[in-house]
Amino acid sequence: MHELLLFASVPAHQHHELLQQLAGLTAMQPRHRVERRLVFKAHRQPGLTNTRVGASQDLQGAELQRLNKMLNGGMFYTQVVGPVAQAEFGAKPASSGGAADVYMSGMEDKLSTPAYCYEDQSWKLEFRDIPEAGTRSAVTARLMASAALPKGDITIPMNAWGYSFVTEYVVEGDVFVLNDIVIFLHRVLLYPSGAQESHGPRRQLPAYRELSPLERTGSYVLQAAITVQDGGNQEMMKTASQHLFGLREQLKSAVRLEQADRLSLDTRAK
Amino acid sequence: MSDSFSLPLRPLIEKRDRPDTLPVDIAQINARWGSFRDVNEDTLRAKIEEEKNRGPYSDDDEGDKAAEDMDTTEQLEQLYKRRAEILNFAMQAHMETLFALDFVSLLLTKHTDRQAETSMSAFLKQVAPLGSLNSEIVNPPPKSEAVAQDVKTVSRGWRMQNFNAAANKLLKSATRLETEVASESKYWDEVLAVKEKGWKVCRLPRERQALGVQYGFMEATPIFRDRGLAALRRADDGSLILDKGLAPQKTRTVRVRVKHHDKFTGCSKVPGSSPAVDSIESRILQARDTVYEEELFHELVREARIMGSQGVTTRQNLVRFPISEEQEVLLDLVDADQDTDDSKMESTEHDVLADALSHSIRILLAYAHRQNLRRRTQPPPPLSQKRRHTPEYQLLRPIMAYLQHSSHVRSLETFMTDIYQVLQVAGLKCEFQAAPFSSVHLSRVHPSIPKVEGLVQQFLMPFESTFSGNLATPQSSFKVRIRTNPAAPPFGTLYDISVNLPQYPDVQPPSRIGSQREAAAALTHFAMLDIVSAIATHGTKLSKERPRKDTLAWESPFPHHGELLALSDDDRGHKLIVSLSQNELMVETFPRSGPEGLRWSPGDPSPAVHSQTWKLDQTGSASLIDFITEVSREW
Amino acid sequence: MESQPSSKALHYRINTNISQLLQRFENIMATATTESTSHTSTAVETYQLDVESTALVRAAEDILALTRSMKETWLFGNLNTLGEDEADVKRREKLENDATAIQKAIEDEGVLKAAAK
Repeated sequence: MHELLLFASVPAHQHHELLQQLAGLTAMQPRHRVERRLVFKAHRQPGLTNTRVGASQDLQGAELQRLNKMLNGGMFYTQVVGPVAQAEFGAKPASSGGAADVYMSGMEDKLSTPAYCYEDQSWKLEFRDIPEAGTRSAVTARLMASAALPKGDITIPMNAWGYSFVTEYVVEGDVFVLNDIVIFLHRVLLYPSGAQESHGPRRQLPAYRELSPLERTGSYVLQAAITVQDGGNQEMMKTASQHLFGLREQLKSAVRLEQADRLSLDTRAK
Repeated sequence: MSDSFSLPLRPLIEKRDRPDTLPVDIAQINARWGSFRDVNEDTLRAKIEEEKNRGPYSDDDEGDKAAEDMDTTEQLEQLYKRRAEILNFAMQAHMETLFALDFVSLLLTKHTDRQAETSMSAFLKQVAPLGSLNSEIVNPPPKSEAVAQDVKTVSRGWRMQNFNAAANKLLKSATRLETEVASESKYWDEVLAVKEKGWKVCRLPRERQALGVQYGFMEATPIFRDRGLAALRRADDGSLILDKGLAPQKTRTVRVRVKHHDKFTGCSKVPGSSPAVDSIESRILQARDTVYEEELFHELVREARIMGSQGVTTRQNLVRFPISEEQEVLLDLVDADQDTDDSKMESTEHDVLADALSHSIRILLAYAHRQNLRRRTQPPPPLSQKRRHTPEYQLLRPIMAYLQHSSHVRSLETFMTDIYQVLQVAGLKCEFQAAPFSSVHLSRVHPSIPKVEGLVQQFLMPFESTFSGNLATPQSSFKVRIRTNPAAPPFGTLYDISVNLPQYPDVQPPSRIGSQREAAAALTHFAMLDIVSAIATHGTKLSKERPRKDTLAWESPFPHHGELLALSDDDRGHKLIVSLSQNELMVETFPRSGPEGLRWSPGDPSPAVHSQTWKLDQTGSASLIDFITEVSREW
Repeated sequence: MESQPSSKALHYRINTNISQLLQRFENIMATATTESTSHTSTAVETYQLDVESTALVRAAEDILALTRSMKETWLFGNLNTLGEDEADVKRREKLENDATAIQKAIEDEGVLKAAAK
């Protein structure tokens, strides 16, 4: 699948107004979404890297070559996304001092507040390629794939697939849908620093207000995305970008949607 | 015209009584004719004549005589000289005019350079830049008192006229603006009133300067959604006009009629055509209702087309579907004010049903709208070449399923009640429970779904009703599940019967029973089988209790025919036939002579034949067991 | 998503119109006081008067147009699309109540069961 995107930066003071405008435009109420995002990095596993195809290369053809290329060509960062509810933040008593302790399972069971249960956390793998270079149209286009992952502790299966945990953050925002376009007005929140080591994803979530926006000014990002089943179908890609341009035109007086800098969306692991 | 304004815009005019006073006239006559004495009719006439007769060439030709004195050569010389002179003058004049032209042109270039430039000489263009000369009156010679006075008077009058015109213009505009302001504020008052009622007022998408009101349904099919917008135009007096463009103005509505045995026996209420109070709000409401009704009918037809296999037929403006063998429902779109005499109502028996149906389809359309909203606000699937087909709304299917199911359940229940009544009359201890619509569990609805939607949702799922009961023999029981699926195949109603007959463990009903008659037959058969086995059991019990000699022990080699056989002490065969129907249970015994079975001579004395019938509404007769005991004991 | 005129622009427009009204009226008055010395100047004056009075009317019309656009701004200015407004809440509650009543009728009073009798 391919994903076509346009972005705009939205200063904090415009956020509320833009929410109103988008709600009017899409004729729907915003869907609030809070996501945990874990960043994993692929590492080369010894033995797997040098898969040689051998003499039968010609026969097996392009299919295998492509697979080979994917396996050995580049290593990517990939994200694991898990939806959470805002109420689940700080569901355990604020850990004072002993923040770095081992996870005390069963501790939150006694609490009346909705407890966050890491074991029940559902996950989705989101792979994004580096945006295509030199596309003529003024949208960001990139190869993408998503897959559902098992619930609970995700590091084990991810490790088994050759990915290691790098870091995690939280994305908070509102989703709108306009025909084929998914509009996500969001910002990145960071966990309070120094509270936990980065060996793995957090098992418990800190209080919501302790999270700090990555962008100090509290500004938001408006992302308009449209996915296309077959990226090779030029006509579909064209239709999709035209839809995006239509949106850009409609929002012209509010925000300026534009193509993102390709290299800032580079997901390759070096 | 402008009396309403007290603005002192008009100049004050001192009115003179007469245009010219007499002294002025006298002064004029004196100036022209001198004394009054010289002016009389004759002189004036003479003067007029003289003016008439005076031709254009009256005073000339004085130098004719002088030319005769000169000789020819002199004459010739003079001629040349004069000619040269004339030429000279002409040249001079030409020069002078050119100078004048140049001068004026140059002067004019100051103001209109383009036009003036064309008449300038090339030389002047070279030496004098354009617009380098201007004119101004320097120290104008003092005008005479009279001229000054004259100018003053004329300009005074002229100016007076101007001010008057300007004042008129201003006052006229003021009046125009005043009415404009009045109608504008009236218009806005009405617009605000509309908005305060909760209607959405917006700008028209294609006509940015006009206001519109949105009354349609956001989730409707695009053609109907786009029709849900009308312009709020301003009449000349400022009142609001609802401009729906080309959409028809009539109120239309979907009418539901019930036809029973080819007679119309029910019709849903059709709302009154035009409301008594013709307010803008009522017009908006009417427009909204009409667009809803038209969409409803459109969707009904769309759905009806895929339901041909279920007996639904469509005409140009009619949808017809059967609900049972004798009843059918007709749906059509009618004008609200149209009289309904085209199809005389035979009775109003089914008005309630028709009304219920008409409410149902409207609720279902509203539900479909809600589902559309839900679908629309979900992240869409990736763009691909497959066009997304909008599924037909479920409008007819749920109500058809409900009516069908209800009719099946009702008739089965009647049947069961009857047959159990018969059994009870026969003294058999058994009963059944009916659980109609056991599939409808309103409390099971997920809490995140609004209650309204949950309620409707329950009626879109397959309907299921159960009947269960025990039979005459202990441990025997049966269960019937009736299922009707509104949306997905297999359509129609299916009976799922399961029985538990310990005596006949291998007897099981067919897996799919589609008609009520078959189901009833099967159930009757099971009940009959059960009675047979009850009799057999009873016989065995009897024979255990008593010595064998005077009691018959019934056995049932052919239970499916309802036959029981017994052999009495004297080796005579006896046969007992059980027959059960909805209304009665009949048990007959026949003597059976030897192996030849059912044959007995007609002349045989009848006491050998015992028969007992239990009917539905019968009371106080002996029970079946007693009868059996009795007939068993006879031999 | 229409761009609304800023308040600064509106103020500017109002002020221009007011000063126009005054200025044009003054101009008209001024022509009345000058002593014309020739027919030419009177003709010019006539023309002037026509221009000034038209401009005066135009300024008044523009004020009317301004009020209309301000009304529109009022009407559409503050978007209130988020959440439910009073009417929505009322309608939703009414619906919920109706649904509850029907649910009760079906579950407790056995409307569906009775229908089968």
